[in-house]
Amino acid sequence: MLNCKETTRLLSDEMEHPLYASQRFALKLHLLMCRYCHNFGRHIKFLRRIGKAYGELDEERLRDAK
Amino acid sequence: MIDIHKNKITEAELALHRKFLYRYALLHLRDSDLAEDAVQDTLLSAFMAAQGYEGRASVRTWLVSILKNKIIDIMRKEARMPIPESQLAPEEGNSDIDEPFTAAARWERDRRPRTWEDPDEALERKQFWEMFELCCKVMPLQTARVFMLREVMGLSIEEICKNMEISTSNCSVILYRARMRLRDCIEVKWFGNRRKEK
Repeated sequence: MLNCKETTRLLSDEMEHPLYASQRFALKLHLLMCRYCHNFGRHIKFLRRIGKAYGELDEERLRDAK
Repeated sequence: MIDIHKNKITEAELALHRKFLYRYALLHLRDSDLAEDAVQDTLLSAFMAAQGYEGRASVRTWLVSILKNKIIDIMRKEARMPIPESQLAPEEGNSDIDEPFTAAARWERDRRPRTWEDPDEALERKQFWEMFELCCKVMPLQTARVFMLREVMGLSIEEICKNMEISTSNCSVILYRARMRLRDCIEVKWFGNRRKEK
């Protein structure tokens, strides 16, 4: 049974290389039960989008915050 | 005025590109002199190689691609030199201090990742990017650099290890810490005060 610390580490590693089937299974199981780790996984994927968007940033099109 | 293969760039456009290149370099290098050098080199190379520009990509994209190589060159040179002690503190040595987990390796109550409302919309806001740069700046130097190389430049983890002369496993750990810290910082500074929620 994975704990949250192990789960977040696997989620990070998964963004670099495919995991073993057993790891994927354990990960899925934990994510089904833990919405915090589930959120973490979504957030680090969003970090990748942020990084990519930063490289293509067009300051002219940005708006001020509400 | 620079004539890049019939694509004329005005002074004003150049100034705008320059500003962006500087910000981009600064995010990666975190040193204003080094960033300035990288931008200077980039514009010089661009000027010399103007006929190599075929107008396929936008001028911005073309300049950034030159800048990326300059930044990696600078980092490669730096990797062979010891990082100044002032830049090492406070993380590298005692990395466990800032962990968001309890002794049982579960999330600390007030550090649990919440739902982010409309994250896509945030990307269009000027303040979001200012906050992002700030969150990058508070990370330890090496952690921030590895993250930028991976997620902003899009290098593979293997390329990063090679250029920075660190082992692959160390690279994954650094990347993991960077994601952890940056996620936390962005949540606190942008996606609202978590402590209001239960």
